[in-house]
Amino acid sequence: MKKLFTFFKTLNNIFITVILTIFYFIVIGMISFFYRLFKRDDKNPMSFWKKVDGIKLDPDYFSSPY
Amino acid sequence: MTILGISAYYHDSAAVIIENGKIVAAIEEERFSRIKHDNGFPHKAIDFCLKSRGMEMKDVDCVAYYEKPLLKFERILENFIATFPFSLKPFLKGMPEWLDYKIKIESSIRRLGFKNRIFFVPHHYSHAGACFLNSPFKESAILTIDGVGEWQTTGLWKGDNNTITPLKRIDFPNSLGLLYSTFTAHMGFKVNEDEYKLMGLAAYGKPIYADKIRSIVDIKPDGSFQLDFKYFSFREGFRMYNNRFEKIFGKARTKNERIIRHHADLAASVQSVTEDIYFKTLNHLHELTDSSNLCLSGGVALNALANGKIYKKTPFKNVYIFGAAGDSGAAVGAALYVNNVIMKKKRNQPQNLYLGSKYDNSAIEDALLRYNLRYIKHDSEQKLIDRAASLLSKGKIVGWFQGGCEFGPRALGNRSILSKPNPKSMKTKMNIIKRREQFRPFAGSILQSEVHKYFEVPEKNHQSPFMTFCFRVKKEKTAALASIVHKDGTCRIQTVNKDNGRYYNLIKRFFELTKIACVMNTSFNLKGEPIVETPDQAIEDYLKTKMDRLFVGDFEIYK
Repeated sequence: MKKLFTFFKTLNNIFITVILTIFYFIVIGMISFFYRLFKRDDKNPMSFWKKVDGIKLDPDYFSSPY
Repeated sequence: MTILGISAYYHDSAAVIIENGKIVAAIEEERFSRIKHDNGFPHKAIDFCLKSRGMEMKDVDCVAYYEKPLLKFERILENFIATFPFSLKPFLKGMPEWLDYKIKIESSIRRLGFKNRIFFVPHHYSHAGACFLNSPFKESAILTIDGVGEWQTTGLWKGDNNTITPLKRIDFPNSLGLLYSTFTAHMGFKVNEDEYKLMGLAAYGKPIYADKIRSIVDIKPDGSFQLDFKYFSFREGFRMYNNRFEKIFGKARTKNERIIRHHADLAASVQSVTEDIYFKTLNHLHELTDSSNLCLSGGVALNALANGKIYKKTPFKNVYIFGAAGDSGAAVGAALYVNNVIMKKKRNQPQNLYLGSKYDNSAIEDALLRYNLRYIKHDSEQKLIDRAASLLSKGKIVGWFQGGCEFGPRALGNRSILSKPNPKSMKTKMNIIKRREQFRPFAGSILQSEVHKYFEVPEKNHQSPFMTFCFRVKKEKTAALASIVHKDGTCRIQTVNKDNGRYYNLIKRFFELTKIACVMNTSFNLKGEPIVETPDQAIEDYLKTKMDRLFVGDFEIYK
């Protein structure tokens, strides 16, 4: 029984790996193409500090996991 | 108002409860699971916190989580996209974890039976809250600096009463914490665990590679910096550095390879560059805020060697570093941020960190009977103190297990192994007991009233209660502190006063016997273990080693 369980678990892991690999090369690959095309780095020879959006005062901002 | 703070899923998972703004319970999950730096969901830590207050989840008004998981997931995904196709392996490992549980943190919390509001406090806001809201300052400059939170790796802030205003930031992949960790990994040490070993090793070398490090890190006069990713591979792989990095700095050290001068020089070099960025950043922060107060938090704020130089290298006069400056402390910061900043409740006074589990005499005696050991139960604290201090004065090594366990990475006299701070051979003896590398230094706990006589501190009675600063030992005291003076003449110190209860009384009695106001203090654990949690664990470590005597609560235990 344990061997059967291990067999199916291994099969499941292989299946997930295959699906994720296909997803990676197709979806992530495609997004990556456009990402590199349009991404612009901020150029500031004097400083790498980024400005912030200002203080977050809205309590609802802190209710979101994003 | 009762708030449960939680940190999980990166390293040092922890839970904390605050009641009406006061931290009443806090503990890391590793103390129960016995997995060092445990990053799982802190079920046992939450359980302990609730039980210690006689509460259930339904009694908690709200939960504060120490980061925004979906924002972090966004960074993870964008990183996979930016480093395609080299990020396949981390993608295959990371995606199931993220989809299975890491983005479902709300479900994990609800499964505990919690129905009220959950707050997600951004990671660096949590760090800022942990240091500023625990500090004695009404207003302060704040620096948060670590490996990475969601995106942010460095934050400059201004704290004013119940407001924490963000000023500037640096985002991933540019990270001072990850720079330091890269060299930690290159040295054959564990990332997010052994950075302090690199710091200790630095004293044995010279910064001859600092210029080479500067050739791969662009540092601006205002402290901002950018890493050259031709040399780092932590974005796309499991290894922090690549072959180009090794061409400059030499082949990486393997785990059991002998440490040689080259490694020490590398350690000294990265410490030097880190301090350069640190102090430039702090000076820039001072210009922005014009405050003489400074609060520090985030993993990089545990660099005690750099911290000890702040008073000389920056205009800041008063510095507060929360003792649990890493991610476990962010659970505290998240809870306090909700309480003080969002709910606008009054701030509390700074507290000590003895916030964890305690064991009464009955529980201790049960443990002693299980191990069939000889012991004495002292019927007064004074007798216990006299015995322990006498043994320490005779050069004995003593396990000291008292009161509530400390929150954070340092033992502060409740879960400690103690000895006299001399002769020099005591360091070797203690490193053997702890099964540690011989280059690693030990810290000292000193009476606050005497600290200025032993160390070059900014003022008389200087407070450094959480072992977050290294100071230079005064020349006339180097003999008295021979086993805790590091190769570079510094020592990491904890100042102790009446707030430290029994531990203060012990050092005071030791001072009366020896005329030395300082003891060697190291955490009560062996290599690879978290600090001991139960009397049983303390007894087992005592029996495995050459510790001379063990004091657990009111009991003195013999082998």
